[in-house]
Amino acid sequence: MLHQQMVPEKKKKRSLKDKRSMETGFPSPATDHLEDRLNLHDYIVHNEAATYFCRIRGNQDDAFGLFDGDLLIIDRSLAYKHHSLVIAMVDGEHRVSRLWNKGDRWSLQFSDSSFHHLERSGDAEHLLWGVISHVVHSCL
Amino acid sequence: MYYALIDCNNFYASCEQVFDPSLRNRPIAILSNNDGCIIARSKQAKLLDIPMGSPEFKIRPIIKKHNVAIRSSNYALYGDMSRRVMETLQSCTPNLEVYSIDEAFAELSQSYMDSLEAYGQLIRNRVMSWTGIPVSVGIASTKTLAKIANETAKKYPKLNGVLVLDRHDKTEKVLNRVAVENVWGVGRNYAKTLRKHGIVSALELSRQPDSWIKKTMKVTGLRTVWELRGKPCLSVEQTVEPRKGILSSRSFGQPVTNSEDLKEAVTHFASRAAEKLRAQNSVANTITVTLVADKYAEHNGQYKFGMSVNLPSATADTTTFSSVSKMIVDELFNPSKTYKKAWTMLTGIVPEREIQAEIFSPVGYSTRQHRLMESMDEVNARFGKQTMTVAGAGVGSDQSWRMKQEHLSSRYTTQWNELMEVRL
Repeated sequence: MLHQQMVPEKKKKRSLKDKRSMETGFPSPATDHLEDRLNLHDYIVHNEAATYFCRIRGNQDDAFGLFDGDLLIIDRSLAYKHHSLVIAMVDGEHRVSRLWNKGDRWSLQFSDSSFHHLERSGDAEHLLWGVISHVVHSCL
Repeated sequence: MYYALIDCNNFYASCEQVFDPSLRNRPIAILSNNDGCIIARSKQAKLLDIPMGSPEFKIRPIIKKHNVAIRSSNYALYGDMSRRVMETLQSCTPNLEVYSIDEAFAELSQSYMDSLEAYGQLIRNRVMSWTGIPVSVGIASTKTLAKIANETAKKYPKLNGVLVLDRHDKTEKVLNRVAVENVWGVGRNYAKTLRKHGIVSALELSRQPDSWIKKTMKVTGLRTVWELRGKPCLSVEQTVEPRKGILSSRSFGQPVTNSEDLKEAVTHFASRAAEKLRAQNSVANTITVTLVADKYAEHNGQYKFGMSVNLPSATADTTTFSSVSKMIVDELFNPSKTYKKAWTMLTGIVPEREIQAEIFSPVGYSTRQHRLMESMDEVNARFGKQTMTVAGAGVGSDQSWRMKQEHLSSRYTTQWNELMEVRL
């Protein structure tokens, strides 16, 4: 039930935008070795079509190491696994939770350590919104 | 060779439901630009028989009674979700023709032939998983049949969203249930004629002799009939012709009576149109501005006033377009009228590389202007629409001509400050 189709991740390598040398005097010996600067988006987003950003609201001590205002990166193409951090719909709202799996039993654990058991196999598809793949936390 | 038509179920309403849990399983009605009338409904709203095209106030009793959610159309959201759906489809099939914001045709290669049903389910599951949007898939040997298969798949929940018409008897059974007016390519007028001749179902239509069809419905009708018989006449088209005319238009949030507001509005439309023009690397040599007055206040009947100006040479320069639009407003404006709508249209469009060099023309599209426009587009792409614009387009909340969008949801996927919020 919780096994989703995965496709081989394809990543476009962006070409170097401008390889011309800018020097007016001696051409830089680095010109031919110039590489693209690191781009955080490439590191975090592996499947553009399935990746969504959302914002955390609420404070809770020691809650999955997450804080109010953190940016969550959700990749909906990732398969749900034991211990995945996921977004689930509970009581009409989207909440962060930890997924627990034993055999064919699946449960959600919330930040206050309460549990919610997923009854039928259909439940999972309806209640789970996606797997959280990264968190961006500002230190300022 | 098989064709698949993938169509999103209740697309606009589904987009809203993905991000707002309070909308799940609820009747939703989406209003047109300017909150005019209902243009889309969720499954539950369709069950309540909320009529398409009806203005919101007319269905207020139903809204109250059944707790119907009303939303302004959020095209920033629908546009991005559409793009995500199409990209997801592209990961399933290389030959994709995006037909509209919520439908696409795919050409299926030989390798899927033994398992078309499974393939349809794969597409459906992947789009659901990646985007949360439910889709229906119709697969058949022609596009017209694929469309029918899709509509049938939507209609009967037992089919689980996928219908493959791969056998003759199955196809005939389905065609027998489809009314002629629901066949893609059969207009309302032809349907009337057909009914007069006792042809009611798609199956009956497919059995008429070619000569009679050609006489009554021309060659395009014959093509439709051949497609119904399983003979493909339409193929998957992947290229899009550059547009012949670019239009930017809006109904005003509230009626406009002074020329300054009108100028702000048309300048804004001109900038938007110019942006679209540059996005396809083209230039235009004619600009038309049309002002629409209150239809019911005009006793002599005329309520649209337009004027075209041919520019000395083709350009894609926002400043040129906006100053010309303002001149046109000065020319057309009548202080005794109330204006409800305006549009700016660019025509005479050619690719930028085809501009004839007019060395002595003072108003041509110079390299300097090109660079300025390029920087403007780049700034706006990076920092949001209308970060940088011509001063005439106006700023802030002062723009009373702007769209009325009282029930607008967030632009969850395109604006940092409108992201979906989740509780810890």
